[in-house]
Amino acid sequence: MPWELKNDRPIYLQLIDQISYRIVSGEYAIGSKLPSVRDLATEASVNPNTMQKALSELERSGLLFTNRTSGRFITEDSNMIQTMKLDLAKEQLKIFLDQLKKIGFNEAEIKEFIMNEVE
Amino acid sequence: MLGKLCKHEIKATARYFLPLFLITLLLTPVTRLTVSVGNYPGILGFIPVVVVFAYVASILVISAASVLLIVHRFYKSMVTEEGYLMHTLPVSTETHIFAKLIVSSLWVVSSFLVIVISLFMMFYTPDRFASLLNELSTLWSMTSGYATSAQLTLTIIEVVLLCIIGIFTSPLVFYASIAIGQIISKNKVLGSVVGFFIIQFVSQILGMISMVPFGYSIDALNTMSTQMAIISNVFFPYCIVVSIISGVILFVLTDFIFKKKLNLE
Amino acid sequence: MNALLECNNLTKKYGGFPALSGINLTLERGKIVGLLGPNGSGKTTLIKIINGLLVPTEGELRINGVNPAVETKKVVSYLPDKTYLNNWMKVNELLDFFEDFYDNFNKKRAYEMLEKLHINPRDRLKTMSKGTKEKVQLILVMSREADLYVLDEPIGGVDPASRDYILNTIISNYNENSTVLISTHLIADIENVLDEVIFLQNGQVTLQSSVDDIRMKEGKSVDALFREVFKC
Repeated sequence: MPWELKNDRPIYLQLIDQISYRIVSGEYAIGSKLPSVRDLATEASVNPNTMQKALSELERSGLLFTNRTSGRFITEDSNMIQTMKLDLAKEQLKIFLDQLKKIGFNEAEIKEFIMNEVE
Repeated sequence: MLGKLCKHEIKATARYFLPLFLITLLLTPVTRLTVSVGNYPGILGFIPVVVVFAYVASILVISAASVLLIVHRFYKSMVTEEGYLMHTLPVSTETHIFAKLIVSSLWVVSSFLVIVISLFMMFYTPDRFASLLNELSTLWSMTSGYATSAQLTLTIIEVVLLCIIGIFTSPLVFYASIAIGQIISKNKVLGSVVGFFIIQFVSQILGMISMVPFGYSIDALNTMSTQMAIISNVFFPYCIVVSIISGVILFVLTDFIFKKKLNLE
Repeated sequence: MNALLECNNLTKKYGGFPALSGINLTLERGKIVGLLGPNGSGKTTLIKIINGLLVPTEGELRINGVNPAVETKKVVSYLPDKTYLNNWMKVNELLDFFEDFYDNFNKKRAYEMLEKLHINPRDRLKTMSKGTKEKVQLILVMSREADLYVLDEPIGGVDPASRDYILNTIISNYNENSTVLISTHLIADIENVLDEVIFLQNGQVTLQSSVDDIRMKEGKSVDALFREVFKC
């Protein structure tokens, strides 16, 4: 997944989102070692301090942890990742539903619409 | 740092001077040989003319080049875009100017040596050399009639000293002109020319003022036994003092301007 | 920890006209800072004072607590907005030159960067395109282990691919003890690598803020804010 940064939100918040996506999607495997701050910053073409800030936030939320000697790792707690995945899905779904309501769908119509589309 | 600057300065200028020296030193035997052959039949008569012309030109170029190249090098490295590199090196302005002066002296002296060597190669025959030595010893005995050997020794030392000071400080007039030039005008070359005339004008006036004490001491001068004494005791010391003072003034002026009034594009 | 760079009431007048008027500014270590402003806002004047190429009319500027002089030139690595290197020199001669004069020049790092950009160290500057010359200059400047890097329009004349490489060079050579000050008007290109920005207008600092704070408060990018503030 390429790094996509938009212009309207703080960069570190966007980095948090993007790293979270990578973790829940499995691109960064559970319990594996994360690249260094500098490498990540270079890869995303962002300031290393900003990347550091995003990683610290993710550590605080428990999604990452630091081993003093060997670096930074993805959590080994699969429940946590699963919860995170659901949270993200809900978030997206909410945005989606809000949009459809704006266009004028009611709940029954939305249900029907989705069923048809998925099939 | 002075050593490193000199090294770089020599590298930067050697690429002009060394080829010039080489050309002259190669042209010397060629010219001598061409001329010694003597008569060229008819249409080939142009050959010695061209060769001699080239040789004379190369000598002239060397004598002119040292001044022009020294001025050009200073201008280029201090007030054009290259100035961004030179003025941000961790080196004081004084060190910059000293390095430039040392290296220009080096080239002035070596240009002189090359010309002397070349002329020697051109004209040397045992007979001529003997008669030259003869002339010199006649000259020496003639002057001995006018002056004591102590006075002569003093004079010679003074002349040598004056030459050394002159060679070392003479570029400063141009350096100061360039320094002034970059303040007064966006067109730095034109500004430098104006700066040069300002310096000339001021130094003429100061020179005249400095002659005033001589006016009051004419009596004292008259009592001195010989002309030689006037030259060695008054004239040369005066010249030495004046060139040291003017050298110091120009140095301080250049240094001050580059420190406080630098104006790179 | 004392500030890396401090300006107190820094003023520079050219024949009465103020190019900088009463600037107060502090730069800490470990930041990448954008110096932004339209033409004639005083960016170049400020940069020249930092590098000791101009002397302030009033006030002062300190780097590591001292005014610009030989000592500060040792720790400031400056990329001018000019092709300022001797054209007749070869790249490896320039590297020797920098190694001679700067104790903190890392020659190995310079050779690595040259190789990555496929620049032959035995080429003469004279034979290179403008873009390649700019790359050589940037490599020389970034190969110094300096406290303060001052880059004047570092991405002005290069193609987008090289621009990315240059930004990556800045990111990967950066360390927590040094600060990079980048002057540019191509804000959108470098916005993501900046910690903070300084807006300069008519010789005065109108804003100093972190990039994320601007986005948080204004809900727009620094580039958009800049266009708004400096609208003609």
